[in-house]
Amino acid sequence: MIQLFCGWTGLINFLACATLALIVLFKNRRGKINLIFALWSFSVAFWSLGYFAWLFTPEHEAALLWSRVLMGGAIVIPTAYLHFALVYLNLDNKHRLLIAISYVFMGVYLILNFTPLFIQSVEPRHWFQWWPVPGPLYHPFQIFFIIAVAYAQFLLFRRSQTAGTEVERKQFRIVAWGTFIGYLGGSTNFFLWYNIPVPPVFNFLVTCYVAFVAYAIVYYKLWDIEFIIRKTIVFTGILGLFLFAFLCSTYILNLFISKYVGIQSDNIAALIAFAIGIVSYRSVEAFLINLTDRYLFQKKYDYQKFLKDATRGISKIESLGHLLNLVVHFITMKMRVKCAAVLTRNKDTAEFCLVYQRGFDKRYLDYRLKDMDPLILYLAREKEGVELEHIKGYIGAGNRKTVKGESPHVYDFHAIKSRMEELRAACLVPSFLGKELRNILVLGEKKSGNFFSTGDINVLFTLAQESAIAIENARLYDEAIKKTQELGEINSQLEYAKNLLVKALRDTEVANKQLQDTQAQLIHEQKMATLGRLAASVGHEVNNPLTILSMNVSRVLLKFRKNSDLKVGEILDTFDKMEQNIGRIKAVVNTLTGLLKKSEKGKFEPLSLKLILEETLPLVQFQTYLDNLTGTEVEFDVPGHLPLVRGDLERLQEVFLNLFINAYHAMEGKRKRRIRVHAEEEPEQAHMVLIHFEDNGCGMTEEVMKKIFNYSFTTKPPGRGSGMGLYMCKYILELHGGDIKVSSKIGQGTTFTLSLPACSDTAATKGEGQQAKSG
Amino acid sequence: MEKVGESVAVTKLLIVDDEEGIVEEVKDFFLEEGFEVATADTGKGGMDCIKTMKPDIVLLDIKLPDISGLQVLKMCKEISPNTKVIVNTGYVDQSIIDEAEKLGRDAFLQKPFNLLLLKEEVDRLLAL
Repeated sequence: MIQLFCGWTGLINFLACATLALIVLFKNRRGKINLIFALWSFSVAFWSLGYFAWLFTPEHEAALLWSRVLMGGAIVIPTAYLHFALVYLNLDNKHRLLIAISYVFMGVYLILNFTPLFIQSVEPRHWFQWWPVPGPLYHPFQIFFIIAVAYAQFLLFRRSQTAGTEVERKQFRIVAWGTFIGYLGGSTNFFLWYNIPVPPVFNFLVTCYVAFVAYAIVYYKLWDIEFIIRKTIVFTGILGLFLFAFLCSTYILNLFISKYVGIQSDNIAALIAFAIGIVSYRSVEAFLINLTDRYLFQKKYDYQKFLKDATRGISKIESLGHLLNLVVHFITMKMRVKCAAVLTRNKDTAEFCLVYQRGFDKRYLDYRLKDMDPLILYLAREKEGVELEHIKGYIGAGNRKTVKGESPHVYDFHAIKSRMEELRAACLVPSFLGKELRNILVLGEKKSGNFFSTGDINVLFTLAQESAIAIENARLYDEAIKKTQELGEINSQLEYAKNLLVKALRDTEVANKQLQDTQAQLIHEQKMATLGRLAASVGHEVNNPLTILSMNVSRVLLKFRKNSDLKVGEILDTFDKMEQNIGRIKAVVNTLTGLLKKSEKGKFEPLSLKLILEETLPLVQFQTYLDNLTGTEVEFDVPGHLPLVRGDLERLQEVFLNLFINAYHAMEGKRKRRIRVHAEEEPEQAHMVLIHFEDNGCGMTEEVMKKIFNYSFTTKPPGRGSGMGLYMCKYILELHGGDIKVSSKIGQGTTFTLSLPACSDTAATKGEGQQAKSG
Repeated sequence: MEKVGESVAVTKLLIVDDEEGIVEEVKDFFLEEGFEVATADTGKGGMDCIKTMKPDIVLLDIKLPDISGLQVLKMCKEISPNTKVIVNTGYVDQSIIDEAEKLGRDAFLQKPFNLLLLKEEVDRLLAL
């Protein structure tokens, strides 16, 4: 049984090692490390082959020959391994002598191998049909083997502790442990040589080193041969299955059936194993592929899924913030990092700003890196992900980074390192849009404490490039939305401004209307005031004669009561008085109707200035009825040749009425009161007439003169003046295309100078107006 | 100003008005009625009369050539409170009417009025 097991495991070892050796060799036939690894691997394969053949040979001679073949492989193993280890650890130059001695030793023993000094013979031993009997020179080999392997092992373990970066340390550790387990398994062979009953059942552990080295290769890119590694493992796995099935069935048959049936159990067992193999081949292959994918190539498997998931998510996002959130979240969850962030380039400030983060504290929120920062320069130029461990390695290597096919470029790796430490970044991945560096993914340490493998960085790099496009799209989208919002805002502002304008226009219209209304109201009020004064005056003027009349009548009635024989002749004098008073009333009525007849409203016509003045005077007398102004001397000096003026009689009468009233008021209390109105043609403008309206009243101050034409300005006591009069005068004159000015001296009098346009087809003034009774 | 008749027992009437026709009518009528009648055609003249003759009744016009009848009324009430004053005017102005009432006029007659009405008022005031 043990013999069979050992034999078949030998075959598996042989196939695995030989395949690995060939693959490594063909990968780079000139590479030093490839050659030496191949030599070592072949030696193990050779040994394993010998094992297989020797154990299955029934004849003594053949067994001896195969055992010498086997030992031939075994002689090469320590030297090749030591050499490989030294080359791998980059120590071969220092240990040239050791390597040379080792090879000499190997050469000597390869020759000695075919003498009885090394292997005396083969003989059955314990579980084995044949086992070599050691010659006297076997023992030094044994010692050499142990020392060489132990030294190589020691160097590997030591390096796994002291290597510059954690990645390297891990890589060395895997190789060291793999080979250690392999050698430990292989060393179970040695006991039977010294007749110690320990079977070499752990030979299969030799395969371990294959697996471990393969893992190191795949994971840490010792050599880039993952695909073939997978095939090797699947192949050896299936062979192992056959072997296992064969062994089991042989054992079971031997145990039960062979006692009763005299059939050669091995052949039946082989048939059963074959059948099992055929039946289960597919599923076992699938299982093994799955197994290698899941455990050995797990990352690769995950990466595909990772990228697929990420791409699916990214393509759906529109808003930039949302997208960055997703990218950072995704990286944090899938890469299982402690923190992650995105730095994005701001074109305006030529800076990289930390725009989105997870797991950083607040002070990172305004983290900024200048375009010329060594870290940015490095990423922009190298166009690859960078790991803090690598940067540490480059610092060790003298700040030098060699890019394939280019001359080495010198970077300030110290600065880069401190930047990355500032950013708490274990890994940075640049993201390009075209050739321009746009974003940087910042990845903190992994929660597991593991390092970023080349595979990690590659997949992140792919993700970063894909997201660059998406980020750009999202940025444009956001910009478009912002622009739209801005436009909307401007639009609403314009709308608002328009509304204001419309409102302002409407307000102006209303104000205009109000002004017009006010103006009309003013004119109306002025008229009502004039009319009121007029009515009161007329009342008095008519009521006095009416009273007399009434008394006359009552007198006659009383006389008639006393003397019913009263004769008309006795009361004739009373009738005379009555007639007189009726005449007075008639005169007042005539004056009024005369005035009213002439004031046709709103009509501009040629008017005689003298006529206007003379017709205004009775109005003035009515208006100033209570003011006791009798005895005022009024002089009109209007030359006969003066042209007619053009105007509205009623309005112009209103003007002069106001001027008269003001003059009377100004002259109140004066012993000698005089008003002089003097008209002349404007000396400079032939078509204008000037009227100087002078009084010898109290005059006014400069201050008052300035305000005298203002709306509602008055110096008169309340109830006496409204402040409208002169304002209306100015308004009326301007309406006529004329003007009014004032000059005054306190205590001496005031002169108003009016200008009015002359009528073009002018004629001399003619006709006399009616003059009302004065006082 | 002129004085007509003199009697201790007769009632004294003063007419202050610048309207000649009215003064004449009222004077004639009240002389016939047996009153002692004085007349004045200015405010100042009226005031002098009031001082000297202390009339029982004054017929006072507001609109006078020199001063306002209201001034005469005020003065009259100050120096001769017992004198009854009948204010009259042809000038229609409520503020003047109110002012006269405030100053203590005893009666108000709006022109035109006739002699019968005036006599009624005079009798009423004398009976008080």
